[in-house]
Amino acid sequence: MRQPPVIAQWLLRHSISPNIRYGALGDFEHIYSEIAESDGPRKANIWYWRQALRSLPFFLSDTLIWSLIMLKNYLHVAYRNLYKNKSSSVVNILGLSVAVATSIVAFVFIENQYTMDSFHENADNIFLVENYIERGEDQQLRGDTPMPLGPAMQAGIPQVVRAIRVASGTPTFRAGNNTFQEFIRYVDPEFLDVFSFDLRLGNKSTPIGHGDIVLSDDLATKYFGKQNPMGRELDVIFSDSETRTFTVSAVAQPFPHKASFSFGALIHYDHLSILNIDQTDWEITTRATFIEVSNPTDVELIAGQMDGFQQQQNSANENQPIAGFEFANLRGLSAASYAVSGDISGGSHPASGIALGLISIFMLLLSCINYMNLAVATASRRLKEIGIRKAVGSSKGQIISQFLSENILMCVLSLGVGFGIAYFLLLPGFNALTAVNGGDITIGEANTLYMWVFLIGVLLVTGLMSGAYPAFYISSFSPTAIFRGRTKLGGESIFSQSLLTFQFVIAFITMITGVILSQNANYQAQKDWGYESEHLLVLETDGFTQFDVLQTEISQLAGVTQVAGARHHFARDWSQTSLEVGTDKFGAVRFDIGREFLETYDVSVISGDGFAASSMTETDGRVVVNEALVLSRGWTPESALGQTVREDSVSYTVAGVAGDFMYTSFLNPIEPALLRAIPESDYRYMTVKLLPGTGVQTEQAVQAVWKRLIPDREYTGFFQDTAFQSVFIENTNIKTMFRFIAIVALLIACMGLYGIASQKVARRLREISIRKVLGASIPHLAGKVNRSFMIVLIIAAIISAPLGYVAMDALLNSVYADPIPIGPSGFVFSFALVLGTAALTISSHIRKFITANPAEVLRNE
Amino acid sequence: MDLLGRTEEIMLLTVWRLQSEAYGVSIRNELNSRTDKDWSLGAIYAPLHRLEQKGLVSTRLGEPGSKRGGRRTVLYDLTNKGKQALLDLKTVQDSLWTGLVSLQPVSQQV
Repeated sequence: MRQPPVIAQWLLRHSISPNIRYGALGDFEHIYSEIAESDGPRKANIWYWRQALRSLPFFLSDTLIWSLIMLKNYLHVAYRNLYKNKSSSVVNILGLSVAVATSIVAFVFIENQYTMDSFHENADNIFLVENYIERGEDQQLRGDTPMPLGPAMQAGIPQVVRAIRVASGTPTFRAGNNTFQEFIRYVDPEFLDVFSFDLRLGNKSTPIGHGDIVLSDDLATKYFGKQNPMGRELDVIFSDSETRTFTVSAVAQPFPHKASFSFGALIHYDHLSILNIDQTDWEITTRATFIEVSNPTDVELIAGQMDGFQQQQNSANENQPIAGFEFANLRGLSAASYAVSGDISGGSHPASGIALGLISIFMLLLSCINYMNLAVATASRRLKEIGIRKAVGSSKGQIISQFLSENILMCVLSLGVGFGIAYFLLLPGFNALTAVNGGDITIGEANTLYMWVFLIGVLLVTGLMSGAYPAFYISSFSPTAIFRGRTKLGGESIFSQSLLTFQFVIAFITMITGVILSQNANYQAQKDWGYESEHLLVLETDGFTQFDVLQTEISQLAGVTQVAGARHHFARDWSQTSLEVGTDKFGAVRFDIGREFLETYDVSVISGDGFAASSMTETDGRVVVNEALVLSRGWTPESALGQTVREDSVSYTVAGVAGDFMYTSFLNPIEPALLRAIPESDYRYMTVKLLPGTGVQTEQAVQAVWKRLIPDREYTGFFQDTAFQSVFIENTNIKTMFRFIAIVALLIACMGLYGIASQKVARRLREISIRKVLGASIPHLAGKVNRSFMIVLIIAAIISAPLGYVAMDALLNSVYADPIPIGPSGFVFSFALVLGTAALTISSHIRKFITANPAEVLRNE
Repeated sequence: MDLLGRTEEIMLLTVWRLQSEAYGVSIRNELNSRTDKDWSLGAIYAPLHRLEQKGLVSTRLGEPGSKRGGRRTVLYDLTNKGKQALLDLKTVQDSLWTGLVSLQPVSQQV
């Protein structure tokens, strides 16, 4: 007997709906053999092919309609099943929703980080010029560049279409009788044309003139309310003797959240001369120099033409020569900003994005495993259903489809609920926590295409990850095994035990992370700053000449014990420099301070006469250095005294060694520091030491003196102990966030444990009842049932301890300069917490045996 | 009242005509000879499948045939619902046809 053409038959078999496949294929073969008998196999083959191809469209559309009908049916059954197993459905959907919500937040956060500034239409063609500063032992990548560089590049390099320089300042704006300090930017005239900050009023292509000022939406409302600000005049006070009047020439729309830099107001770059800044001086740097090119690849050509500028800068500033230039595209600016000192955009460290991403993957894994374990466990109740369906001719594929559609229904539900949780709960919470570093991310501003790809990806991955194993596993049982009761399911298998172990490893690690980050936040908050930070009121008097008048009046106030001046400030301002000792050159910071400064701040002095302020004058070249400098030179505090330190062409003699003092955020290491005395005329910051307990009244008195003496200037006072407030708030927020995450992870893992334990108890209720009848005690029974869970928990603890240690060590060291040393207490606490919660979860089932009446349970047999 | 479609009506009538001998091959032969067209098996099975889902026909297995690669024939019978559907359609058609003016095509005047 001849066989019909194999390929045609294969085509038919796979296009005909299973319900009619048997009869239809038989009919095909029937006619085929008749033709083969009468007209020979060749004719028959031709007929078969022709017939198959002509039939194909009918069969395909029929199959499609049929599968849609089946899908509807599957979903209907799926819904009934979800409804029937309410508790496990709630566990699954809730767990998965929270996991989905976390991953949506992580996605939006990471998406936001990497698409910053992409709203600028010309972003591909705009580059920030960055430079490496040679500091002897190392090079520092900096975002600020010499002031004359921009115009020089535009004039000298044909590929540079335009160069836009940006500098910033905080002059005082006058509105009626009130004055406010505002953040403004000095920019080259075509700033608005190069960047895409949309304007509410005015024209982007009009260059900013010398008399013009461009306001942000906020400032326009602040100074002009609902009136039209265009053409109105605004007084800006730069210093005592310099007040200028500007005309509002444009008003910006509110800035997109994805702007990594924006402005309060814009004025012409030339106005820097008001501050006595010479913009042709190669030694002075500007906040940013942007260049516009016509083709992104031009940057390579430009890079080859920078040597001249490098030489020009190096001869002007021998102490801090440029070692090379870099061009950073606007789109990547914010994401890479953590590695660039003093850059304009300021983005968060990538560690936070990576941590969030990892956490959301963990959460998804946890809830998918819950689903897997519970699906396999609840399937034991559905074994008979599966057996019967198989016996009456359901194919394996149909049972898989049934289980997968249940799973997809659950995933779609969770995706919806998770989106809601992310939108209404998690994102607002997350934004509130990250508000201190400008955290303001919204789902709405994420790229729609990426968002859809991400959501569909999450749906597919979670659907397959959680659904595939149960569906294939359950559908593979043979009906005879099921009805003979040979099939063992869930709970006991090595596979589901190891999944449970894995879940608790994750729960332990997140808990360890949460606890150690909390400990670290407390550690940072309690860290010794190296000086007495309380009762110090700091006033910023930049650019004003009444320092001495103010000082005289303030020092006479009751409650004021001491007043010190300085050009720099511990936290806000210092000079980045390079120092030389012998032939060694190294990066350092310099503080220019007044004579009483060290005493006022009570900086601990380790050796020398740092405190003998009167002996330290502006001209004798005597300086105090910090411990970090002493250590970096291999000196001891004693041998450091009398050593010579050179900065550029100036030589200093070390007269004292101070303990390290906190001046930078806790994330950066303390650099070698040099403190030198300066004349009173250079003072900018005034530190007022208050008598303990009189803070509030004395500050009011100081404020009154300020208002009387310099009414044109907004009062700037703040207490030194709030100088690092943003760092502490951030630490506290990290603590809150990770505590929340750890608790959610623990809850999800416990939900899984609860599900498995309840299945297990249900399965063993008969055995337990028999044991009870025979006189077994409750503790004995509890131990018997829970032993395997205890083993799982202990193995998880043993695995997670070293993993948690390595992860935390890496995380803390990559973010903090001086993290808490990781000790055993965090681990012990985490383990106790997780084990306690797990024990509580399991023990809820022990009630079941205590209350179970053996007579009731066994009557069914 | 849901009226049958044209293809469905043809299928049901053919199944009824063939009585207990209605299966793919016989239905196709019957249709080929009556409509003078070459019916593909797909064009027969798709409506049969739909009719089966609607409950207008039922299937039963016949004898295995040597020409069918050992497969049994799948025979189609009208269900009561199928019979009723045909009768309903006939009533409507009859009432539509009765009392009409003679339906001779008008000869074209040249």
